[in-house]
Amino acid sequence: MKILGFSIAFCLLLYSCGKVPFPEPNEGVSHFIGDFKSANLIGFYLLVNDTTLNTQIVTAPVRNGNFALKNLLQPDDYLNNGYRIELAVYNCAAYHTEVFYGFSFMADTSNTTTEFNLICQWQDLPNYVLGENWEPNPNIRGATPPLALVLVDNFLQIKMNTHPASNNHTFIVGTPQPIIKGNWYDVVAHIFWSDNNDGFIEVWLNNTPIIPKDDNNTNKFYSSNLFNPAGNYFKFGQYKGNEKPQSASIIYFDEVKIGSSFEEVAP
Amino acid sequence: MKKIAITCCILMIAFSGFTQDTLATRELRFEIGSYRNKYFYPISNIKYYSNLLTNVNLNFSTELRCYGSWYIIHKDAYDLTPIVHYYFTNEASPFNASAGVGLNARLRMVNDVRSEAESSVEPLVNISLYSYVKQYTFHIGNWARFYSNGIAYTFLPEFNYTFDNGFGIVCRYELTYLKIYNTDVNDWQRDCFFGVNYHF
Repeated sequence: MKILGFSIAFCLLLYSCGKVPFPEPNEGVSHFIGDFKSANLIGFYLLVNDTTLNTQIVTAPVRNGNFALKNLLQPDDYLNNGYRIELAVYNCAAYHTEVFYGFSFMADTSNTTTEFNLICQWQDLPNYVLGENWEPNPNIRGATPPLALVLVDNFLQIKMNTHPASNNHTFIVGTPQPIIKGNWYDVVAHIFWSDNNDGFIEVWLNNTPIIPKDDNNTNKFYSSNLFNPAGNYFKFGQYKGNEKPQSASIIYFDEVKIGSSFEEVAP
Repeated sequence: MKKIAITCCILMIAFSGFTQDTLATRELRFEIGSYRNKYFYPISNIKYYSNLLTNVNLNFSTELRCYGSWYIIHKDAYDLTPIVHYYFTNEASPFNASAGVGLNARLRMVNDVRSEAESSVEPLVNISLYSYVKQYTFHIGNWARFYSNGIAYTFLPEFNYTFDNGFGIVCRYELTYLKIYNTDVNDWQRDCFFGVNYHF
């Protein structure tokens, strides 16, 4: 009887325990539509100083529908250790999931600066279940994101970083693509998220793959794209690092979507 | 670096002579680390160890681990691990072993919608091997932690040098294997620590 009681108590104790501090597989894709059709920013987490100025819903120019987002970054828009105006979507880049991301952007013809500008990035997260957080003391992390699309001097680059604690391990994937100010561009990214070399990215610009074919005749680039199993999260807008921008710049965004197929997210 | 190493050697020789005869002592320890799988991340530990009963080889240890700081104070995450150990002999001999049971309480207080971390308490079983040779102690701990959907095994080798005034230095490595039941998911996690302790 004692043994039975002990066994039941032990089973109850085990049942009430927490989960292994590691993500379970097959979490699935979180589908998201942010096409500004309802003329608001519901669903986005904002890294914005002034929503009435920095993130305006406009009726022209638009890629589809009646509204688009005008993203204005001014030289004094400093927030969270950098010059940025960004909108984020959380919980959309989980460990070992395969996700499609799509959006359209247009650089305004008035933009004159040639400094780098991250128009979207998949930012790493602290491994929360292992006790990590954003502000360790001392802070010996803090590197460029594992994956970003960067506008530099009218070229669009895919930039990756595989080192969580250094900015000296970044590299460009594929060939930088020329961007003409005043034109809309459609971007689709197909990503398998992993902290090993089975992770991959595949990117289309205006329905054309921009990563050269590999030995398997695919346009995928294989590399680790997570710093840890906590996954990443998606941000778009403008981010220019820690150096004050020379002047204001405007990028328009439309048709931001996240899903499980090219057709679902393609603008 | 060379100077630090030479200074440490001189100090070890100068203070050598401490010999622990019995496990019936108390220990207070402070450690910092750690190098995780791919990056440094500050973690600090405070550990207290004491004999629980004088007539039975029963000892008690509790460890408070703070994530995100080398100064034991941070608002987001702590682990608390109390363990009761039974020693097969109470003498500080070259070959010794203990078995213990305890709990691993994970306190996750981070306020961020991106976080899926939750506080929980898991049972823990510990089997350890010890070797006491003069002022040197080698310790190999083996933890099994039981979760609702899996298990974690942790291998904890540590080296301890104790000066004759009771103070000592400690190096500890932690290698954890995680396994989620009924899936092919498993992972390795690594941490390492360096610290000081005091026997009294």
